[in-house]
Amino acid sequence: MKLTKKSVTSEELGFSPSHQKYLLKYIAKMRTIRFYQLIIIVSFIALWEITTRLSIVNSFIFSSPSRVVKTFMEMAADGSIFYHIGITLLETFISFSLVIVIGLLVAVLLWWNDTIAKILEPYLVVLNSLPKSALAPVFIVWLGNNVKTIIVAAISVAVFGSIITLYTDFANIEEDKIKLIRTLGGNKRDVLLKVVIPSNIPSLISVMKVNIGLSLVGVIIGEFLAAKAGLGYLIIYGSQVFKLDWVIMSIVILCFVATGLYQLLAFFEKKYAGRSEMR
Amino acid sequence: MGELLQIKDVSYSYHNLDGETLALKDVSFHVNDGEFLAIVGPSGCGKSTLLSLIAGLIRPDNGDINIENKNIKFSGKNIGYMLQKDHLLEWRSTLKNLTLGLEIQHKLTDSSYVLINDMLSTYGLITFKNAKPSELSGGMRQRAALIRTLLLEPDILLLDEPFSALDYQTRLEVADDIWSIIRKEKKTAILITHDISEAVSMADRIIVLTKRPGTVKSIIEVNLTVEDKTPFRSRSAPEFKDYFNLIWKELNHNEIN
Repeated sequence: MKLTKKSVTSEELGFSPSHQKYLLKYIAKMRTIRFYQLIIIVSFIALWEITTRLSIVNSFIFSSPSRVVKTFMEMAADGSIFYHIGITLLETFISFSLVIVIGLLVAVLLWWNDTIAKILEPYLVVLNSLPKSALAPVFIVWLGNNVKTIIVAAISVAVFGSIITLYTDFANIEEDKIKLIRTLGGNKRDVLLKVVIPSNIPSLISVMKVNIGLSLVGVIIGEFLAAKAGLGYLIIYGSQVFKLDWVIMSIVILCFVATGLYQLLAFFEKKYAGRSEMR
Repeated sequence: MGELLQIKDVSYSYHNLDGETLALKDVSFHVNDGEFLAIVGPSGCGKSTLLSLIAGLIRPDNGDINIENKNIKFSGKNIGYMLQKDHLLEWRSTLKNLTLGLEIQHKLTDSSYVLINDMLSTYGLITFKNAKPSELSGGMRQRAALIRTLLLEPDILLLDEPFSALDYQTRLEVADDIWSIIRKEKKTAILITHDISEAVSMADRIIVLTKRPGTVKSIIEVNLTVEDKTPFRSRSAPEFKDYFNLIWKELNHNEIN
């Protein structure tokens, strides 16, 4: 319920008094929620700024909101921050696309051939539960101190979970839907293209939503170990040379980047849902 | 009206790790061209298995299933199968659901759309052409599922309890609808049901199966005195009750043995 300044009153819309009461109660609740959300962020920033100004906490170690903004302005002026953000985003998008492509292909293969799925199951479970950060140093040795390592690290974080989730969803397709395609004269390929894939678009989108975040996690892990640029590099380098302003600023930027990426996929999801309702 | 479909001494078992389950044992019967045949039997007597065998989805362990004396695989005849639920795909429009079979068999041409539009208007779905299946009532969905099957021009139509998912009132209406569509298109049909009244009201002949392993218990010809036969009017025919009781006895006699 969106209320603009020119909006009609609820009497004009012909709402009954009890419904008006319900709507007012709803609006009041929404306002309370927004209010406290704002209070939390504003007081956090204010407290951080004041305590560092009054030297209650050491701004050299904890940085401060004003120092973060100042650092950002400086780095924005010479463009270097955009370079770092750009690198991290690019690596994230490459890893994310590869995770989706590999995840989808392997899930289709496993669905197609039940024997392969059964053979690979224990390996997938082990690889999925293994903390992937443990692999990162190995990747450096194998692949070198470069972007390849970062991307492979990011893929390793997200890909096994995607395969398992997608395969499980594929395998859970209603038996009678498969029978339907067969009674219409279709083969396994038709089952895949007409039923399995289309019915799993929502599942694919939710896998993508999870994976965009996981790819970012993987990229940052990779950048900690093998990078000359990117937000992960900025965080690890900043902490080594005690430029905590860089570290904190990068973390703040990561908050925005992560939220932005998630919103981007939420937007696509909404668009898809809207489109499929239109058809 | 010659014999269209012959089923001779067909047996079939299911296998799993706990062992073997004999579902059908030496089942033999025939279906005449243009006939409406109903198969009734206690639940789990292998009725659906029988349809899957006729549709060629599974192969019998023993026996033959022939159409005009040729194995179903080589007969060159089409077999349409209507499942218990309509299984319209939610992400496709009604129209796109109807063309699914044609798409799969690469038979979708411009002229198919003319035929589809004809059928849609004949069977009262034309205004819902672009609607999502979720906007259709239970009866409309079942009609759409039948059109989807009929578009593949089946010579034999298999109906696997197609009304069991509907509420009673809709069920009677849809039974009338589907029955008249099948008669109008002059199709041979085999209906599976556990509803005796449904079988008596719709079929020309009824086959009663025993409980598992299913075999043919008896074959009953239905001759009702009714003008302008529809399944609904058949229910008030004077002989209806007798047929009902006869089949009821056949089925229950079954259980005592």
